[in-house]
Amino acid sequence: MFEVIKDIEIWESFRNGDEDAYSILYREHVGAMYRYGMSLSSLSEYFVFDCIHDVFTEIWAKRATITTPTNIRSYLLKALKNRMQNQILRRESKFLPIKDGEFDELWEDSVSDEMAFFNNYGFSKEELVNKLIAQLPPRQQEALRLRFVEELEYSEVANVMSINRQSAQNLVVRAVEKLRKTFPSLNL
Amino acid sequence: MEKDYTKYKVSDFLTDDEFVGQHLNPTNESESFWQNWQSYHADTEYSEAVSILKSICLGLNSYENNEITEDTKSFIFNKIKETNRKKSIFQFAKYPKQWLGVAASVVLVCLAVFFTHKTSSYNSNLAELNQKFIEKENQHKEAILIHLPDGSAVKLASKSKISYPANFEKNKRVVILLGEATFDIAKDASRPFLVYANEVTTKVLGTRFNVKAYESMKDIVVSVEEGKVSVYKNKKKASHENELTGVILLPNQQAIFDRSSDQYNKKLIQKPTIINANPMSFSFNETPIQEVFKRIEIAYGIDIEFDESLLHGCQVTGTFDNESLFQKLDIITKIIGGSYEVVEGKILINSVGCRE
Repeated sequence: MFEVIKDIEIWESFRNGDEDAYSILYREHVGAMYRYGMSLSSLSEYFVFDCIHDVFTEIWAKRATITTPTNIRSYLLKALKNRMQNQILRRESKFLPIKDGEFDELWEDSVSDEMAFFNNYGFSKEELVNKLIAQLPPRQQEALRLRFVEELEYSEVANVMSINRQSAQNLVVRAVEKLRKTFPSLNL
Repeated sequence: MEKDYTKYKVSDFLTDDEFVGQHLNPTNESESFWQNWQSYHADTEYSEAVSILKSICLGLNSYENNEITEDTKSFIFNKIKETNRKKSIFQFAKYPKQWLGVAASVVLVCLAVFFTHKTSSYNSNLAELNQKFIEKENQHKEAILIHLPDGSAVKLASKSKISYPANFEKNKRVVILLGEATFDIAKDASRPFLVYANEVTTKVLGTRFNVKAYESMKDIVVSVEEGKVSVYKNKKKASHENELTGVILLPNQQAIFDRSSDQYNKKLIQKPTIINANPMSFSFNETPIQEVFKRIEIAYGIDIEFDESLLHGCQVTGTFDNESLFQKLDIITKIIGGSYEVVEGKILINSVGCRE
């Protein structure tokens, strides 16, 4: 709770034009924005840098009018995601955009066999789970990252992913089921 | 927490914010709740949920450890600040696209107004010439010498310009200056010489002085080397010359005119020079202090004020050569056990006297 209150206070100072508060916000969240941005895009690192830059200059320009978000991290992550998507859409506007989730069916089952194969080659548990998660549909991975690393509550995960809370939980449930199915065969 | 965790399955635990929060970032409150709960429920669903949660975190390590370097952080933040600075100048950029064209022209007009306003005092001063005039601009790095029709000489500093009529009028000699120039004016009591420089006019009879009035400078500085000069603010109606307020400058004095506050400040120039090479030397042998100060006053053309009765009996012995005015004053005031200050172009001596 203390952390949240501090975060909100800093945000309020930033809205009043306090450059130190602005700097603190940046330092506090840029790490999460970077790794989250990098996980969303296979484009170059510089694309993510550009979008982080755009998010922070945008909130500075609009500081007087934007309201204080309930969760600053989820607000910034969502702003970054929107920015990246808009930029990508602008670059690739010739192509029909593919909606989130349309790819999910392509990720069906070959996973377990492959994992058993890797298991025979002495990979560590961390490497195995990492590979397993990497083979999940992207939106399941995204939900896992937002909930278990960025520590956003499910309602915030849903907000960042522009879905409802139940859908966000469902993404994690499906990921968990896949992991449970695979774990026994891997003796984890 | 009024949930019935006894009915929770693995997936239910993992989609519960309290459960996940406890295992990622426990608080005292959550810690005691879950410990209490566990002691009553030896639940396999719960322990499997914990184990899966740990596995997930383990598998996400590589994501979590994808860190941005400190250098990159600072680099991006500097870029951000740079952009913010630029944006604050062009706030219009925030508005929708159809406004951009309008906004840009507004900025251009503002800049144009800004710049013309700056040079306007020079241009409006040109009206004083009311006849064909010659304009000389010095684009060289060194000062250039210009001869005026009346035989006066002007040393025009770099990046400065001056305008003057081909022939001066019968009753006055007017030049318009922007920038810096030193004037050596031919004596002509019937035709005063007037220098219009920004908001200040310098009026002289015959003398040597310097005017600094760059358009970008906050102050206008007039320094006098020789003769007597009056400096005053330009009046809109030049006919009332008698009513003008200003300062009269003597050699080694300067007037600094603050353009924003319209205030004059009269000072001594930085390095006062001897203006009257006179037979009285600076060689003193038990010379009374009054005599010492008098010689300095005459040589530098400045006023020295001191309490005669207090300093009565003070004597100075010694010879000055190349010491500057202020070095001389330093030494003399040390001898008589006092100090000096420069107020409004005059020297004030502070001393309690030096009676034995």
